[in-house]
Amino acid sequence: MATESNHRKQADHNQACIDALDAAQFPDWAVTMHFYKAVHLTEVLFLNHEVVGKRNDHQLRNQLIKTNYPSLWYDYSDLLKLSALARYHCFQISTKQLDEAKILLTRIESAIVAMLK
Amino acid sequence: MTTLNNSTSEPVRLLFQSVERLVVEPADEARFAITARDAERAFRGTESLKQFRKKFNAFLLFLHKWSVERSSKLAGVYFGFLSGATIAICTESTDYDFVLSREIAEMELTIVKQFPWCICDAIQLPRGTWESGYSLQDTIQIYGNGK
Repeated sequence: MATESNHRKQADHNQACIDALDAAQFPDWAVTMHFYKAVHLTEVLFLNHEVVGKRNDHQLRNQLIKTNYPSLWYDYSDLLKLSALARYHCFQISTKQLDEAKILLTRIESAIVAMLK
Repeated sequence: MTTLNNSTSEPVRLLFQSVERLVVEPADEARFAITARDAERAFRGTESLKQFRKKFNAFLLFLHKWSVERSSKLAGVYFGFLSGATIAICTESTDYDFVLSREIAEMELTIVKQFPWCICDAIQLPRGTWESGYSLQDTIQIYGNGK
């Protein structure tokens, strides 16, 4: 099972991918990388707080976020849903939505960093 | 005995007669039973079937009320087992509505409190994406007609 440190490294790795990606050409994958950085940051939080509960799929992880960190859910769910729309529903991510995704991730990261022990 | 029409391409339709009562369209009773049975399998614990159906109907009524209150933005709202239990919220707009998304997130948090047995997620589907990722024909139509 991945450790808190593993998830931190993966979050950093995903940030490096965001920085390297041509977001104007691949806004769908840019939003998705933002979302997956958020996934690893929430895993860091769960492990740091020793949150118990199955989270081997998105729905179970979502439930844990809603239950334990409802204030995070608003921003996290927007990233989740924009990413899902882009990947599964062929929704075209606009520049405005991509800009919003960056703001959402920044807020999620700040909130999580503030909550870590 | 009710015969299931497998060839239908429409979601199961409900009649919300009041905030207290819902009725399944007679032609859709068998398909409603299938989704209700899926919900039972996923969510019913040790309680009786009758108790669970009461809770499930209350959940559907909650979703209907929420949808009616946002009728100006919504074309249709559906519940079914898509990628897990899912509330599909089809909007009139072709754009992703960040104001509505906050209200959807709030509604999901209310579900966790009021219907903790129902592990589900809601997704906003702007016009143009309604049927591109999901087959809504296997869902229960909570609101609107999705047209």
